[in-house]
Amino acid sequence: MDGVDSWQKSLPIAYFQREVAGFNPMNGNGDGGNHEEDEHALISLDAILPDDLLEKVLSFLPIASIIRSSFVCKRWYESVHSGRWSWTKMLPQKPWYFMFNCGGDAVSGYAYDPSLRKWYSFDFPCIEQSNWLTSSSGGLVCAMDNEDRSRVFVCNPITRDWKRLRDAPGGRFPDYSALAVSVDRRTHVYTVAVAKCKQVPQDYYQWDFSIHVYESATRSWTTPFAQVLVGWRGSDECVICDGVLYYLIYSTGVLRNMEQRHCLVIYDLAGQPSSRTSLMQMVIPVPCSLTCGRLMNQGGKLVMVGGIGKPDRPGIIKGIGIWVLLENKEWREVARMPQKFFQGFGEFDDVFASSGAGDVIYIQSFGSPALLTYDMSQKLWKWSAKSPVIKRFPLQLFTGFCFEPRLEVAS
Amino acid sequence: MAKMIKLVSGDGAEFEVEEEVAFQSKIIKDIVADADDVIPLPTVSSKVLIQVIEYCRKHAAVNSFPLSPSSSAAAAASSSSSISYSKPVSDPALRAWDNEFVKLNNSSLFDIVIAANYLDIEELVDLVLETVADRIKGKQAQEIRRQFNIENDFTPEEEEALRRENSWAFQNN
Repeated sequence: MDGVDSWQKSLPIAYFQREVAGFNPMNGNGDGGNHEEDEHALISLDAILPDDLLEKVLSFLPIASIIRSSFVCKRWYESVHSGRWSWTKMLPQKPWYFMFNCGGDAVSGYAYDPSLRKWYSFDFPCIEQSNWLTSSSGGLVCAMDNEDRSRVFVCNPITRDWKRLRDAPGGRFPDYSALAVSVDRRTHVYTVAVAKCKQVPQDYYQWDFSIHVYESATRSWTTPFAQVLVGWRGSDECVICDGVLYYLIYSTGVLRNMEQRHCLVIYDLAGQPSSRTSLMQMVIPVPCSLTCGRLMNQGGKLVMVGGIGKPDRPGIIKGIGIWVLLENKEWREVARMPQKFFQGFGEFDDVFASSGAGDVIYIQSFGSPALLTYDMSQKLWKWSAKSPVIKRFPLQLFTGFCFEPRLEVAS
Repeated sequence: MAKMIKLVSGDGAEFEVEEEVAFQSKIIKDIVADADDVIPLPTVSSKVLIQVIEYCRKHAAVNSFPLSPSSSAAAAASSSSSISYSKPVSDPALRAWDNEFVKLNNSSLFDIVIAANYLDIEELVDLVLETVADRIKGKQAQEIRRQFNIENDFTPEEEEALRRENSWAFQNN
């Protein structure tokens, strides 16, 4: 056909859409934004899009929208649950924060979705009481019964899939227990570490300390480390980062007037130093005098959110800081909570809840349902959308933890 | 004068475009490498082909360095930066142009992405699919069905089971 050459480049598109009989004569509307459905479409547009393109569309969505897409029709459901999802395919998801009341028997509360800035009424499949210990990594949440610390569960809060692990060794009623889980994003194999600490009977300053490790590949526990600590006791704070267990321990203050209340144990899970090595040879100091410290794995780096206290009055919190542990085992302060946010919580106890994943850190005061986020890459402090959790009486306490919402990981 | 490639749409219309514009399509680039300058595209209508050409023309103009195939020996010989066809659009003016380009109804968008997928124009495929994703984001299933004219083939029992297992996702707030 002659004449269709360089001149056609200079004419507007609409000209051709009137002239040319295209395959979709009804849909010649190319001018102006139009997000409404085309009322004249006789066929389902879903029939046109092949599977791989449909999956690609879904991979651009925040997880709440992926889940809702699975309700659209059976084909979309298959696409979402096809098992073809992998970490690399799905966009990294900002972690959600699950907030609930302390003291309730059933654990239900609200989950905050920062991608859509919405709160959803949410419950967890296996957490029975609000005082259970929790740890999360790569889409899984691990929980330990506070009354019987041999009972450990792992679940995926989004798919609701859960499993109770074989009983953890080390006794059911230690004085202090800490829990950490770590998921390998590629293989979905996970490791759970439990640190238990129990006062030696009739000896105030000796503590029986043990580390127990569960591997999902073998479904079994080992106890690579057991030792008596003198002058120090365990806490409920630990995290696994890149195969290393980081664990906060407290000075019992009995032996002498110690400079620091806390220090950090660095235990290499892969290296498995023997019990003959003193735990105190694996410690580093914390960056300053702390009222409390919360440990988290932010993209493979160890991060601590700490309440900054005065050395002589450790119960008084004057601020909150965020530190990263560098490769040379030194701390670098990356952020300090601005006063206006610190005051925005109202009264701040010396202890508070804080957890994070990826670039996002959440901070919550136990006395208030307000939730603050810090984005490490943008260096931005921001309140979450207002939480629907209501404080009904003055002494009511709230707590929470964060988890990454993922589809592809199973317990 | 730039080398011209002739594209022939499914309904027989012929479009001559500069080589660098046509080469936004990896498929066309491969065919032309086999020394074939007239490329029939039987599955692409004129209407859609015009829109795709418009996109390619705009994006070729922005990447106005001499093009070098990303994986051939010519890339080593070329002194200028090699252009990757799938790099994300960082130029804000181009991004604004893209946003205007995709202000189309769903039917047109789907036609374009099918053609872009067939022609292997990765940036255009991603652009349209992201636009579709934006139209899904934040919506409940019923709204998504209405938007894209999709039939609900779940039985009431199946829907009830979904609702029970994922009650949080059904909340509208």
